[in-house]
Amino acid sequence: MGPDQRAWCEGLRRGDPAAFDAVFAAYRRRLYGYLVRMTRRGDVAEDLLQETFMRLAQHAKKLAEDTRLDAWLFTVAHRLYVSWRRAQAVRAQLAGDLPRREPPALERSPLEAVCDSQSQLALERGFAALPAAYREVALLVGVEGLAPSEVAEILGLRADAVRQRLARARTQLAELLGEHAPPSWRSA
Amino acid sequence: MNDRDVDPLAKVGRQLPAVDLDDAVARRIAHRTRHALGRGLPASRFVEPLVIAVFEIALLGWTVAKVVELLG
Repeated sequence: MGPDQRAWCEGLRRGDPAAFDAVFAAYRRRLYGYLVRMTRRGDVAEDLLQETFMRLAQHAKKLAEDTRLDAWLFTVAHRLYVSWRRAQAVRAQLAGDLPRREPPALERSPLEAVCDSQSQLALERGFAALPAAYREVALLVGVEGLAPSEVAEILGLRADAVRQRLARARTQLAELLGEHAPPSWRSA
Repeated sequence: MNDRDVDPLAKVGRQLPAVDLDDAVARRIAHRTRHALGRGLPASRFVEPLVIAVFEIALLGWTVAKVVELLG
């Protein structure tokens, strides 16, 4: 845990708006990136991001001094994403449709608009095509740089389950990326 | 930790394009959420469980009274 996080925690516990702004600035991109890649909807990702920081503001006084803010925020974001997904499934059932577990992966998404090369586009589509459970661990470990043990805590899983999902995510991603997969993956 | 999967995923993860929300949206979210800082959970969050608890206790009391009445 870095000195910044400790100082931010102390500030949040005191109700210091400057500490809150610093945390917001430090984590908004990471959380938004995670949420938009999980929900594949910019509007939903914005709503969930707002709710994540609302929860932080509401629970600020109860934070422990040594709270790891990144893990705390990703845990909240993950829970909000799971709730949203359940609500989507219920809504689809009430509407008389079969619950659609995932939006179609190959439709052009707002995420793809920010890709500036074919390999980035292939990578974005590869991540999007992964099943949500694998995509989530791949994003948290591969993109956010969290340790598998932290991801296990965030997702409420055992460490070996995270390792298994990571291995499967990597295998499926290699298949999905095809020629765009890193050379070392193809030879492995 | 299995670096066999972590390192390759981190390598491709770094190649994903950076995504960020619009600055105006970010400012709006920061403004809204900052106002909740230090205020704790909203009172409305406790109203629904309280109403349900009162209803359940009343129902339980009524049921017990009816059972006692029948037995007596």
